[in-house]
Amino acid sequence: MGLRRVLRQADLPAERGHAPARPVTATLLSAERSPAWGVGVVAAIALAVGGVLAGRPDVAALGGLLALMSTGPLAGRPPGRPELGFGSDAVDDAGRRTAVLRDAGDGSGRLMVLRGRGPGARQSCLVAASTERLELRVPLPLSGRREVLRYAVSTASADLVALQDEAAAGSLVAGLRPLPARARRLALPHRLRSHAGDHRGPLAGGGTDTLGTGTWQAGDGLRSIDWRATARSTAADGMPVVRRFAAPADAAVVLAVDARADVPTDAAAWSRPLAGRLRMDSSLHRARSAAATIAHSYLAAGDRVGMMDAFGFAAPLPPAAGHRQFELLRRRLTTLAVPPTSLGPERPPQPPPGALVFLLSPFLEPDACERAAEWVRTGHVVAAVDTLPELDLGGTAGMEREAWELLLASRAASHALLAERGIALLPAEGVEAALDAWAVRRMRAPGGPR
Amino acid sequence: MTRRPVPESFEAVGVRTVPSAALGAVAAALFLAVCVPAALAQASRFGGASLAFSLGAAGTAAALAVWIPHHLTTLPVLALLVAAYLGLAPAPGWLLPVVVLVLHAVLVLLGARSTAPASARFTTAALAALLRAAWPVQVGAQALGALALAAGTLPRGGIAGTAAGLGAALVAVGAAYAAVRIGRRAGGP
Repeated sequence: MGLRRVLRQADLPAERGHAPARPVTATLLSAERSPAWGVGVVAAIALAVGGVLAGRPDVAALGGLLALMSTGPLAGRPPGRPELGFGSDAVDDAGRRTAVLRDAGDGSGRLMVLRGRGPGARQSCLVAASTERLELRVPLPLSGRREVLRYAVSTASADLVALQDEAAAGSLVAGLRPLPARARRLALPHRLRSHAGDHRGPLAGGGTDTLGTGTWQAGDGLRSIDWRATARSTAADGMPVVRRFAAPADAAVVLAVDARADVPTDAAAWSRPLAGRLRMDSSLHRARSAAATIAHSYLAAGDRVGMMDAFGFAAPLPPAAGHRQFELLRRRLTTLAVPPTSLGPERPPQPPPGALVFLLSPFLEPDACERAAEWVRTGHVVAAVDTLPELDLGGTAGMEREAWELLLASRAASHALLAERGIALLPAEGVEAALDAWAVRRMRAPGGPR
Repeated sequence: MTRRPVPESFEAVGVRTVPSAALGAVAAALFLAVCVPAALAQASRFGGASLAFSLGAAGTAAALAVWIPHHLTTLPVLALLVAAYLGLAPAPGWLLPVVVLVLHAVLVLLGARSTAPASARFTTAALAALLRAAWPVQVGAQALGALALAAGTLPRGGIAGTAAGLGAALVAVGAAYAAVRIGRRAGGP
């Protein structure tokens, strides 16, 4: 008789960058006699019969030992309830987090056998007593949401005659949100400045939305003095009170992410699971980090930032401003994954009119470059962010090596086409410095910022 | 193309662990400690071919105990242990407690290995739980062996002696069963 139950993993705090773990399904089965019990009974009977036939009571006594061991399961065993879940949310220097294995049953003497396999790692197995509370270090990915451990726990009585084959089974899922950096100067298309948006920035300026009031300071206009508030003021220095307004923020920035491939540093690990793949730098990890940095920089300046899949595999996130939008973007970036199909929508997605578009792609396929060129033709300012990490082709050979060389040649052609169309190519690694330099280049360009 | 070591999926923190292969090695060493003297005794009576056969069988069973943690491994190992005990005829009285101890240890160690894959590691607390569960059985089995030896030496074996041994075994098993039931009943003594 099986009893199914759901063990809910504790939600993890968002500020530490971990997504809540998926509920884990556990199956509790009644204890069954183990094959060792069968071996003992067979050997006991054989020795008893042999002892009688040979007239050797000492041989029969050997069978008595095995018969003694077989009395264990007659007393019955309460089913165990081992549980595995993330404990502390701390991550160590090697990028590992602590999971806790414990038995929520009555704590009687049993053995817990935990078997688990993480991505790119070999199966690990641990046998522990049910009275133990074991802490296990589980490696986490650099960023994104991943299943980090698929596990099964069985239990056995300490005398090894009762077994519970699958006392608990499930998986541990961890999500690490990308950490942003901040760019000092930001490129902003000149024509976007003349489009007053329906949103407001966090800085004081010449808008219409009231930001607050305060005492007059050098630089405040006389027209901003709130005479009624000044009359009501009890300030001893007699300084007039001014009303401040929020500055309008105009630019809409769209992060278009090409998530069709997640290429790791070790090229051989792209097509087959290899050791250390979980902690390997990859194109999607770079896309997450670069997109978070760009979004953080523009949102901090009061601009609106949205996100879309460059090839329409996921629903877009409309541009908006504010800290909540940044958290929404980080959540989207955390769940960013390679789409399960290569069949995208027939109609290509379009960024909002006049938006500044950052296309984040490894540019392994020419259509990414063509997509950027198409958006330039429709009046957008486009910057390409190259997310491919420095590749190590050492693990590839034969046709795989040749295929990689062809891909890299196609990528070089895409870069040339981007340069020909005047599309800036920024590296994802250190994108904040690249943004800064790009902003300076655009300001110094003939005719001013475009 | 270089082969890189594949990392563990998880690592236990703050506990001492013993690899499963070490349990198999201990079981194999105990097993050989009984089988090799028996093989030498066989050789003194039946010649070199018997020695080679016995050592070959013992070596194969020891290798099985170390490398293949499976329930079925236990059966040939137990059978060879008993055969080795029988081969040491006329067995001295002190040999029975030793064989009982070795048989039990081999059964427990190989049974523990059978619960987990070959790559498993056992915590020291798990091994302590195994020992705690094994000692009452071992005490009972030694008492049983003493009874059987006493019953067997008086009439010098034979059907009556064996029947007395089996009777003693049944009494010991019944007593152990009753003790377990009473001990686990809520509110029992």
